[in-house]
Amino acid sequence: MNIRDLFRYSLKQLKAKKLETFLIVFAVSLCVLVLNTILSPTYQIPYTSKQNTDGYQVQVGPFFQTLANEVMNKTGLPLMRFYEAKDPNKYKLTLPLLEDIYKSVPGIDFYMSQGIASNPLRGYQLPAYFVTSNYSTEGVLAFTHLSPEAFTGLGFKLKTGSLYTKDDFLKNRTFLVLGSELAERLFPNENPVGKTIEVGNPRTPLFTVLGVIEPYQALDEHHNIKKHINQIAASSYTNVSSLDNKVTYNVVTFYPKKPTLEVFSKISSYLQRHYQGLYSVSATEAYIQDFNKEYQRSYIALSVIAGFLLVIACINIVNLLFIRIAKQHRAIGLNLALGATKRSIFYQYCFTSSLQGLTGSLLGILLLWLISLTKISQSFNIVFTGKNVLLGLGAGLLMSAAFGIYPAIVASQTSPAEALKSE
Amino acid sequence: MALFLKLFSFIKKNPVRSFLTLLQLALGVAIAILVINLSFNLQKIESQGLSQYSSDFGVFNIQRSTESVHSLISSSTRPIEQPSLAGLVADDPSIKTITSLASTDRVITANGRSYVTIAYRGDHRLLDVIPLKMLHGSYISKDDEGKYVAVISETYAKLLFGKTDVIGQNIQTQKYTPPSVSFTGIQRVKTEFSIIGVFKDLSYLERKTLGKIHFIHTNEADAASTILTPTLYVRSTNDRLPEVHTLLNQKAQVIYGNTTTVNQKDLVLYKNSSLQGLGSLKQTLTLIAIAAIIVSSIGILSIMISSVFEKTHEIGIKRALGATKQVIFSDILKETAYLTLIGSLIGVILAKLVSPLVYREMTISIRVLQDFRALDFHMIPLAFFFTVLAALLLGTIFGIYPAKLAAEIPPAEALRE
Repeated sequence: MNIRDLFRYSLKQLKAKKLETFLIVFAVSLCVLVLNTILSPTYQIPYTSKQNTDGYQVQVGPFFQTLANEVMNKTGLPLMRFYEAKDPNKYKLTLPLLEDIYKSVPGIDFYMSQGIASNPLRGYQLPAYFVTSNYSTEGVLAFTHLSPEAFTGLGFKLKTGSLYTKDDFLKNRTFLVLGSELAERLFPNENPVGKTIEVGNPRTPLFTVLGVIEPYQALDEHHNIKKHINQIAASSYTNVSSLDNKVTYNVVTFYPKKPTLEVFSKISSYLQRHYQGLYSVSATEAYIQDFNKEYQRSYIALSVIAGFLLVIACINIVNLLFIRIAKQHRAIGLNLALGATKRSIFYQYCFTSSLQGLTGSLLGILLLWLISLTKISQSFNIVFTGKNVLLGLGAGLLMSAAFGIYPAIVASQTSPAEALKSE
Repeated sequence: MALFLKLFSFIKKNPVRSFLTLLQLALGVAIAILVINLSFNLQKIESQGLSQYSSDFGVFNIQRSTESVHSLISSSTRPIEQPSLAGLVADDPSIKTITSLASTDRVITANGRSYVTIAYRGDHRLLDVIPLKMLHGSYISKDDEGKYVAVISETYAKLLFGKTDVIGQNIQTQKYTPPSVSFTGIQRVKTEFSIIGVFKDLSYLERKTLGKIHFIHTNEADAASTILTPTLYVRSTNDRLPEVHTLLNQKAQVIYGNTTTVNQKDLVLYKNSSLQGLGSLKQTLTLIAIAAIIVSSIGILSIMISSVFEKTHEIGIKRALGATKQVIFSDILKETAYLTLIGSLIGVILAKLVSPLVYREMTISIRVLQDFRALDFHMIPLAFFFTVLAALLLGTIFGIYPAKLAAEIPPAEALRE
């Protein structure tokens, strides 16, 4: 039996019981309508990364810190299970590790940490309970730990003097290049290059000024370091953890040469291979994708319930199909005796149920389209897109076909002899 | 009664068909009940409102300007204990009670379980401002303020300790560093608090407007933490809240600098936006409930029509033997009604069994419901009653057509089949 015959046969069957068919079709269409209404908001992507360049930064940090905090803030969940790091010593992001990643993963321009550390300048003593804005600018030296690559990568240039070397950076030497305003403040009317600055207590080493940074125009910069570079300094030095005197970072951002997500996956797989997933890697884009998925998930929960409605409609199809098969018991037996294969009987009934589902879906899509033209669509946020059509067709057709399989199998299993004997 | 027995025999004769019919009905009714119940619950929560927080209650946030390096530097320097803003203004005649709650992200560990959450540092005056209902133990008193004590919410008590007694147990907190400001290494200083009380969870709206307050402790969580800018909760005297606002602005600038402003949190805005989310959910739920009942009714209708066609011969015999049209009509109608009734009852049982699981799944996956727990959704008898009544009504109404159809069959034709 070819498709055309099947189609004609099913149509004849359905036309015989016009009212029932209409009811089923209407029921299926209603379900499809509801399903589409519920899922409509998910067709629009709610979140996109606001700053396009940032979307491709890759932050690497110990598992619990980045992941839990970001997830908590973004999803607003009040609680989250938190996994204590098993070996705190293993989880420190140290300089050798970062250099290893930087050298091994191609496509990384530079890496840096966002922190701005500060040290009180020696000689400034203030009473404990007194804070004014003067203290903030005069009594403190703020600096950020930047490698030479990061310095040039961020777009900074030197006005006078020179930059510290990579070796200085790796050896944590106390060299500085001052921002233009900072240089003015600390060394008015003199050349700061070569001068030393005393910070903190006498045991803290002296900082040597190697150069002055060209004034940086930070228009609309959200990046803290770029915004404030004129008032702070860049240094090859950073405060070290007192326990083992190693330089450690909390979170580090890797900036790719080209803004693609490839670097993200490369870093991720490199860490996976060499550090057995001890670290978490996150990119804003990935977060946004996750967040969008999370947002869509909430609608899927509701649509599962609506899916049950479709199940109810399909149960109806099955029921009526069983009744029809029972009625046509003798006719089926006759067909089988006359040479029809079991398979063709199976296809006949399967096709009948599928046709009902298909018609129902089409009606549902039509209704959806009509509704999307009226005002109600705004309150329900209905948008008629290709996805609606696909979903409607898919759901209705597949469900009815699937549910129709069992009755069709039962029908095809009738023994012709027994059927012909019965009434 | 005889009809009931007849129905029973019908079920025995066609087990598959009657099973499917009843399943259809039961599913439809169950879905409708679950969804209507949820709607009713959300309605109740909405109507609770914020009556206790009227014009004498205010929430103030201190906003320090982030446009200058000052804010970056001062937030990462060694903490300097600043005079408390609340302390400075407490004696003003326009203020009845003022308290501050400083919140930070903390990792709390108790009973072997850990969570990332918001910890609030509070004092004994909080109870006068936000009326927390203490379920066990007592709230932080003035004497407790030197010690390291904490009160937790009912939900947290259950989550962390399960059924064991909570008062007297210890909770440890650890600083949780957001990955932006300083990179001075992972700080592992832990502070331990003793739990002295458990309070009833804030209502949904309270949590949305005031904050998700689940854990309140005294003292700083650890000595090396940065300066916290607290949120101030104020009860003013005689609706003098605007005066309080001006006063706070003045004093804040003295302590934190000229670029500081004190903003009043617009509670109405928060309340409205959270209610809007609930409102749209209710809309969707209503749609599903209506669709469920309609689809089930259509199902019953089609089944009854085909069963009428099946019984044509039987009806013909009955008519020939003297049954009137009315008798046939009422027979079929009663059959439909009984079927609907049995199906509805099965649906009710199904709904009751399945509801905790379904609600739990919904609170996990649906964003708007994520602040609820499955336990928050009680089964409201009215929802059951309403749904079953609607199902019966619709079932009966939809039963009229097949019944009419059956009554109209000419007996002679029927016997001929």
